[in-house]
Amino acid sequence: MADDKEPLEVMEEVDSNNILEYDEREVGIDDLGGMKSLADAEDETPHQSDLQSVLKSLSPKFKNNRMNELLQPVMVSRIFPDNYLDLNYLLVMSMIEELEEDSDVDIVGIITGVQVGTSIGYEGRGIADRLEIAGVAQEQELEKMTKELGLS
Amino acid sequence: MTLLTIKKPTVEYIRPPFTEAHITIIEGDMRSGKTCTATARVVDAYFKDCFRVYCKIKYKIDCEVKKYDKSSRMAVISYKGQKKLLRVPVDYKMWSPMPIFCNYHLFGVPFHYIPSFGIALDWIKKGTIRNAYLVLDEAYVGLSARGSMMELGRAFASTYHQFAKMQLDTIIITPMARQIDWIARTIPTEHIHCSYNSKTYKISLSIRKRGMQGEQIVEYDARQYWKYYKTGEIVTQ
Repeated sequence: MADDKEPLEVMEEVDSNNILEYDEREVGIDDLGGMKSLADAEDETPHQSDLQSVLKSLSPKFKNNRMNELLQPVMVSRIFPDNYLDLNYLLVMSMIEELEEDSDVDIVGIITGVQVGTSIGYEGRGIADRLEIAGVAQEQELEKMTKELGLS
Repeated sequence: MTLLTIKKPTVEYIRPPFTEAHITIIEGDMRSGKTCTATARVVDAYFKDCFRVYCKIKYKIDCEVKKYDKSSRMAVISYKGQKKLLRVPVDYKMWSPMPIFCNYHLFGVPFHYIPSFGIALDWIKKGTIRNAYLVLDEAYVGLSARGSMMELGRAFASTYHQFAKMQLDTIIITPMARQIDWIARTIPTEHIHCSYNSKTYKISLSIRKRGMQGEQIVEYDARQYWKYYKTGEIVTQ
């Protein structure tokens, strides 16, 4: 047992390639198959910068591909107040008409999605928010560099 | 407890020279899963290397093990740009020459036990701890901020910045970074903060890497690693 030995003896053991090996402990838990190991969990989780996380939440993705096609550009456009309601109406009607033949049309989902997309692009708020965040991130980076170089 | 003498390895544990230091500091309150996380890191790396050794012995190939599932004994390997799924036979004893130096006892994986921080320093200086995983639990015991100007603290301080040259994957565990020597606080390239949910048995990690903005939030089930260490083991010297 390693615990009973003098430090010198233990050191000699390491040099001669002796290694301790115990059986796995009994912890009273049956097979836990199917669990993700830490290594797998780390590999599968993206390392996102704060900026990337915020940008992701500012540009929501929709389940419906057609909605994505129409609303992704809308979110980075400039919707004038006079056009806002008309655009909402047009987008909702167009999508409902496209899905008219489907038996299961999610009307509330379409209206909400369109409302979310157009409200982000209202008066160019989507672009303004992105630029503001990018500016803050750059300022923070500059501040950090200044500190690291001992200039502040 | 048994002390086994393992024969000289037929497959060597060779890694390319590090391009950066691999030093991780794990912080968190008491019972937040710090030791479990360090054990998980080492155990996962060990079993992946076991699979590499298996491929080397059985198929005579040098491959990279991307994923290994211990319960099904299956792994995804990358060989010559292609990914393959392989399984290890149940009767094959998983083994790897990967050296692990640890100041608490591991179960189910072979390791070198470090009885005290003084001996860890001796082994580092003698060259015994090289190209290995080095895990220092309760680091404030030996690398204490208060004792940083004592003999052991100063001797350790002269080695920290050469851990990358020594090819050491070092894991330093402490409840709070403030408790360890200030030079030891400057070397980590990865900073992990742990928290444990006793209802779901899940440990959440917030991982920040040097040179990268933002953080990675990872969650894993702690129960799968309980059999590899004793949570109540005390480190006193």
